[in-house]
Amino acid sequence: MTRVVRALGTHTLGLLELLGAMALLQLRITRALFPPRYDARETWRAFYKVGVKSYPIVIMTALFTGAIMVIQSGHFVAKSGATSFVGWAAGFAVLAEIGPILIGLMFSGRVGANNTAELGTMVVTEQVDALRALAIEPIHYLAVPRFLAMIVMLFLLTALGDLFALIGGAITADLMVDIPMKVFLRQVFDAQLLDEYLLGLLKGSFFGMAIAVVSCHYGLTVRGGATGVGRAVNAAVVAAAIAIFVADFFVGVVWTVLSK
Amino acid sequence: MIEFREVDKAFGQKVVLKRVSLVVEKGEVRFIIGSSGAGKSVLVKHLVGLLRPDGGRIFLDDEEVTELTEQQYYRVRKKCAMVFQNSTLFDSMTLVENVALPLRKHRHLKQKEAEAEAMGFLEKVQMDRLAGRYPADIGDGLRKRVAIARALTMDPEYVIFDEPTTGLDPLAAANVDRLIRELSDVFGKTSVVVSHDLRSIFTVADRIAMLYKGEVLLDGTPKEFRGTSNGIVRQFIEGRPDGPFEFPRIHGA
Repeated sequence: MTRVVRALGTHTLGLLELLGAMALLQLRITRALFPPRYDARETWRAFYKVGVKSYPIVIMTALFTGAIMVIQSGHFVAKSGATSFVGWAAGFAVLAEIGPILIGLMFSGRVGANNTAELGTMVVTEQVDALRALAIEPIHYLAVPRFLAMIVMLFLLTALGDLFALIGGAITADLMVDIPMKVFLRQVFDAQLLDEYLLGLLKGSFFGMAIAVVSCHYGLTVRGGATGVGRAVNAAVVAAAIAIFVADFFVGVVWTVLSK
Repeated sequence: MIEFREVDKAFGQKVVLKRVSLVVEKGEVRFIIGSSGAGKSVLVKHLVGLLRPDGGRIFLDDEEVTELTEQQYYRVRKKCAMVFQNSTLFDSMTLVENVALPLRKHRHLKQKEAEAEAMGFLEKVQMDRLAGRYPADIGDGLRKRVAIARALTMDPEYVIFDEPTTGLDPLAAANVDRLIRELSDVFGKTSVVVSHDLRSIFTVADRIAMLYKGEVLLDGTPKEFRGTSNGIVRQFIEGRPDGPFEFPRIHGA
């Protein structure tokens, strides 16, 4: 019994320490934004790397997400005969929930993991110490540009992903559920899903923020050479996935409360 | 002048520095020697605040820097540049971008202006022809030269070299040695060089301190080192495997 309580206590303390460290990193990043003390060139590079290089996987994910939603809802409405709800059901699920989450998870796997690996490698090869030795603050130079890039780019990628998810849904509706593309898209627009669309974009930004803080934290605290980098990437991907679902829950709750 | 006064440092159970006191005079080339794991790199990293001592005090030009915050240390680091053992050039940047970075950040130059000035520093270390290459494209010796050029962009009064010739071929090592000597003789910089390269030690150093078991075993000129009767120092500088020198224990072995 004592052992269980001790283990529970140790894990709780470890979790609180981790959350505290991430909150502190978030605070340091926020402080660097007012007044702006980040590197414009590095920020531009981060935007390119995070955004431009991510859009193919986002488009791919979104196309299939839309398609899957139509297949699932199409199966249900075929039974009930409510074919006019296919566009609404698929649009609602994609724009408000499934789209941002799946794009966020893909983004975390590609960009977040890459960020942790890059920063971790910089730590173990003393490049971060070299920055400090050159009197350049690593948080300002490395973390802030990535933070900005991930928030802005995940917002934009979610917007792009929504578009392609609807295209994917429309094609699938035409080919597999016998609902012409025009009819499907009309259903989506008639459903007046602007609120869901904005909610999804907001979620995208929060997911970007969560992935940035988590991946930068794990990257900048790497210990133990290449093995340490591997461990950090692994931990960052898991933690970012959890952070995405937690952020999804809280943004959804706050949005619902404020919408009443 | 740099002064370490009774500096202590331990990592967990492992004591690395025990009441180390050392003075580096302005304009000299000061070598800190000792076997691997003797605490040489640990000692110099304290000077630029990359490590903090457990005890003791550190002075730079009569100002105590021991308790400075990370932000306050940035002022010290502009005055006291460090060239790391592994060069630590930034992988994602070309060589000229690496050298231009401190110019852009501290002198607020535009990228093109910074790169134009960086070319001058690369020329000093004969690396201007490879300016557009990435660190991964060149060898260790060339990377070290670029790292030296990058450190000099801040026009530091002090330059710390952490094992600058380790892993270099004899000619590349001799080039780096000459550069360190020139920094002192021509530009009046003070150099602190961590090394166990015996050839460098006796061709470049003005004064030498040897660390052994976390303490300063001998502090003197190259002539004093050559003439010492201390068996441990003699064994080290003569590179003999047998003698009174006790090699650091490897934990877990």
